[in-house]
Amino acid sequence: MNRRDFLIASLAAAGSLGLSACDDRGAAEMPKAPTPTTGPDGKRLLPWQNWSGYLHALPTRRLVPQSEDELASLLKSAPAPIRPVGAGHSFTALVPTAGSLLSLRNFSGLLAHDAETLTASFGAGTRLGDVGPALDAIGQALANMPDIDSQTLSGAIATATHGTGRGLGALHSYVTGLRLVTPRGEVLDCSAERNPQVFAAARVSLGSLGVITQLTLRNVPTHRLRRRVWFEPLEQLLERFDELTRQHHSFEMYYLPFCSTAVAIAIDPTDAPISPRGEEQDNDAVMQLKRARDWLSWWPGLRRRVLDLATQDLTPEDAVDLWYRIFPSSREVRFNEMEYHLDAQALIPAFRRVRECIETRHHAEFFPIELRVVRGDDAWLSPFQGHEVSGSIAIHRYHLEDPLPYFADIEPIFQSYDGRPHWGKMHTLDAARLASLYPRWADFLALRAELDPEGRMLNPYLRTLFGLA
Amino acid sequence: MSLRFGSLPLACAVLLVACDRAPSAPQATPAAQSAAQTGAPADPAVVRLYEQTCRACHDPRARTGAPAAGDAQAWAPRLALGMDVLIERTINGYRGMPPLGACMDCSEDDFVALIRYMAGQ
Repeated sequence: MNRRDFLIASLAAAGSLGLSACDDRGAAEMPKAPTPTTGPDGKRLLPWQNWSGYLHALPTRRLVPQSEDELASLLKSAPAPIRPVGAGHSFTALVPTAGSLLSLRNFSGLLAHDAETLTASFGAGTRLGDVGPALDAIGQALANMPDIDSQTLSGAIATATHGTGRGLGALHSYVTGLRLVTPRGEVLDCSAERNPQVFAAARVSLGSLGVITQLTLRNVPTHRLRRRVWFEPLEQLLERFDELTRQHHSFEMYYLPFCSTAVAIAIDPTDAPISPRGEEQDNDAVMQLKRARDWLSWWPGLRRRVLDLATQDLTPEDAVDLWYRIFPSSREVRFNEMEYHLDAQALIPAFRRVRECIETRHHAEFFPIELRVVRGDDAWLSPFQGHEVSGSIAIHRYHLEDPLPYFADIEPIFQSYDGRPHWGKMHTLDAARLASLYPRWADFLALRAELDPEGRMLNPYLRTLFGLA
Repeated sequence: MSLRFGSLPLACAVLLVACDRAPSAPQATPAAQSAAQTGAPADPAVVRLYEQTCRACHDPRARTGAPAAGDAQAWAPRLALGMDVLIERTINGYRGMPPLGACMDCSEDDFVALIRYMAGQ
């Protein structure tokens, strides 16, 4: 940027100050948390919020069972709807309840393992961040992980949470067994051999069939991974996307709105010496993208020039560490998110339409758009079901800005490719549409009705989602 | 992702740094001993609750930027704000900390006990 450009930029920035100060970007439309009330003991009853602060609830009771017997009793007697809660990282209203909020924090930790079959059983409330060290200590590793590790195992699996990799499935695809406590108080051990129908349904079940208390995972030997992050021209990266997903164990890319350069992240097994990732830089980078948006959203050309310069000639990151220290990142800038899963063939064409939509109509967007791939599986409500490989596109909006207008404009693009939404991320699909996307939808609903005939696990969101409202 | 605006030519950096009123991500704190190691014997129930909830982010080895359990230097300016402020931040989330920390079933008294434990009080 020469002196003339800088002067223009400075003037632009100064001029935009007044404009941006008048635009709350929909903040006034955001849902507000309920006011805390006083409980029978005279103490404040605290409202529940999800991670982004978009969803709220004021449950009558908070349940923390110590055992499966106590859980079974509570499922029969506690005020409904009874909603299990994990880390609160879902953006869909799976958790909010005026009845009972149920924590599984007493169902956590490594329960058993088998060195021959490389399997390990965990309490369902174990956080992914605790799974890593526990598995490494017994010589095992998860085959894949999401890019955050604060979720509980059961919450992640219930919503088909995933990482990225053409040959790597979502977390639930590695579950070989689970124990389900139903609202009728039954305790069902499920696997491909025992209660196989329940197993096929329960692996991805939105916490609607009962409460899963433990899970057995098929793992791989513990290992080191090398993670490389580099910037590359967007068009070049899109051309190479398929090749890179075939070349690397795990690969994803991020498009930065209004930038001609994109971010690539590849993860591969290695025997190289450990060289840790170091201090997390993504959060500061996102806030810098926000600043560029705040000042230059009204002049996309200059914004692109600034961002292109900012991403020019950056040194690639290169880190080697144990698998559980390589996959997850720390996400400190909160957001709301929509993610759809498409057949992998549709990923790049769909992304090009998303990009065009953003660059023509959504100049306020700054959060990177994430492109990933996931191996298909056969769980009834898995959004990857029936795909050899799924392609995923995730869009995000800053947590203090209304996500709905942006998401509503992008969602039809995903729907035009028969995309399936991530169960924990915002979408507007109804029961009829979901039935057309999931061949086993009716089977799932029938099983749900059998396991929970009184609908004790159903909050208003789930009733609507399942067409039972 | 590592987007380094500092690598821009000076003019560009000035443009962006001049806008530095938006909140930035918290800085990492130095590693510290846990409160369990430095303070008076803690209530086992609080220790267990800490292990089940706060430890994931407040462990001295975590890479989250959250004040580490037992790091009195990191906690001192926070405690100076008053417990009411810390409780409100815990309930509603603050910077990288999600609403309710990681304890969806904690009462206000639980949060006070957890804060005191992590601060080594």
